[in-house]
Amino acid sequence: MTARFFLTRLLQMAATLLLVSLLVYVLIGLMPGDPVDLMISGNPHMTPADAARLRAIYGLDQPLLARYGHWLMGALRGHLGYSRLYNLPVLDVIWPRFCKTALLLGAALFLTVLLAVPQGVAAARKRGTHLDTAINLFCFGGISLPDFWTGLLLTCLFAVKLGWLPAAAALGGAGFLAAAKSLILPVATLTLRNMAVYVRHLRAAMTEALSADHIRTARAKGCSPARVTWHHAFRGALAPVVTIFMLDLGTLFGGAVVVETIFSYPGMGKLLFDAVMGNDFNLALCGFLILAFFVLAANALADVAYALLDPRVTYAGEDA
Amino acid sequence: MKVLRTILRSAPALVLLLMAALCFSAGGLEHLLHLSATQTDLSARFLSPSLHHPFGTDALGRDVFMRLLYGGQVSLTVALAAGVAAAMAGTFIGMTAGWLGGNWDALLMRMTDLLIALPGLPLLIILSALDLQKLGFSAAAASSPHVSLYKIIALIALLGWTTVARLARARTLSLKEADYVTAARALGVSAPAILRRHIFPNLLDTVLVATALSVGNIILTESVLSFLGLGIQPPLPSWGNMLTNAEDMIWEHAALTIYPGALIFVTVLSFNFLGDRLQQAFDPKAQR
Repeated sequence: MTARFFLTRLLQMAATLLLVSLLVYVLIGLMPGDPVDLMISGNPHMTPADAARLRAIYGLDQPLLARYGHWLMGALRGHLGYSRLYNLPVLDVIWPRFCKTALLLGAALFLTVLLAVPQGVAAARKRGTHLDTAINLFCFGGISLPDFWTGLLLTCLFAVKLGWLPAAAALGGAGFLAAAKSLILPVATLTLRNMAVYVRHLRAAMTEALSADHIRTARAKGCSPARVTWHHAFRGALAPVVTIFMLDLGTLFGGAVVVETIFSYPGMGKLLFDAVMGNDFNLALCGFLILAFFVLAANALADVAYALLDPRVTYAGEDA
Repeated sequence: MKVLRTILRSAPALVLLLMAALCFSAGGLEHLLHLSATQTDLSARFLSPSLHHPFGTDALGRDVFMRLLYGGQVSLTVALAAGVAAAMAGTFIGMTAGWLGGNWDALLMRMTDLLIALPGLPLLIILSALDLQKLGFSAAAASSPHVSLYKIIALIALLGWTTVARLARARTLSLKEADYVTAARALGVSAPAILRRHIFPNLLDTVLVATALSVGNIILTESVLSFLGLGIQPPLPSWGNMLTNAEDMIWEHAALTIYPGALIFVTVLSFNFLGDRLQQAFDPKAQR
């Protein structure tokens, strides 16, 4: 690991982000209705000359690349424009929701790892037994479940029939306990699906790690099974799993959109959905840009983590 | 093709074939049973299952059984069309990158990596709001009744080709070095002919397995988009959009929530099992 590797990776990330921002900017232009069209429909007294003047003021008569350059300069200084839906600067709308989503996804991820690790390791250790088959079937079920449907069914059972938990985040009332209670159903919905995905990856990685030569050596020298599993094999299995974990962050945000919409949880996912439904495309695309930034950063981190967890990994331009 | 025959006789394949047969005979059944998926009847809302309406009726008095069948038609059509389109695009891009190598390979693969990295569902939600007229489609085409069907197929295929492309590229890279390819080159066979005759048939199994494994996910994606109101637009039914208002009905009519979701689950589960079987059949050495 050299400084050069970090630098290359950082530059790559910056270039990718630039590309995504261009894509996002072009997409804004392809959304229904530009701002001036909306002003025209809102004000019947506006003449075509007024519209043309407005376009000139907002720079909408400039060529696409010039407009993009202008927008980019503003964006780099933190001016991402305003949200039409909330009448606030985009970043002010996004920030609190981003924290909410981070809380939701963090809780779900914590629970997922807590539940997936023992299952994946057990399945790999007892390969071919009934336990393995049961875990495997359970995972097939988990990855085949439509998460919005699971959410609906959980609401049906725990909020409607039993009345134990609130059906929507806003119905729980104030206070820490209420907030925690309103998190249970969304977190459970997210965990059910993610767990199945991670158990499958963990099982595959552990199976491979357990078949390595040094595991046989460890067993031969009389290492206890627990030590072989956790100290020798699990560490080897960790690298690929952490990588998948990081690369999968984009999918995780997808789950957040669904769950937040169903449970009316005020996070990034619901914001994005509401913005698209409310024709607030500047908000939607800036939100997407921020999500993309985090996913790309996580990918870059995954590369670094991989190199740290697996000392055999070397990168081009670097000697072993 | 003994392998394929065994797989076609497996339980998941039979479930899927039966389901497809039932869904695609909906037109005939509709006529035969005097039921309608679109005829609303406000005097017959939320009927319980009966001989005439085997699954009851929905909030507008439409027959749920027929809607489930038509919804299945839509879901299966989207899944297969988008799956095949994505596989074709992915194979083409992967083979091109693997064969040409160098800068082309780097460019195409960076594009693939980028698309894999972006959050898929948020991007699909944004793309589903695109103004088709600004993309150059006529106003008539942009408002035709089936446009949501074509749009969702195109969008899912647009984002879904990446896995196949990576696999096809990896296979092309190794096949390119095979002796028979070198021999074909020495004989003066043109590049397109080598790709078509020698490389494509040998990476077909990889593409087939990856596509089978992706179909389940496509159904899930379509259903969630339709559920959110951004995919298949009513009056065209799909399993996803039948659940759109389920939140409001869940209090009294839980059954209407259960049917479409259970069908999505069974279909996706069958495709996942089928993909798994195919993977084992074509790659017995893969770790189980």
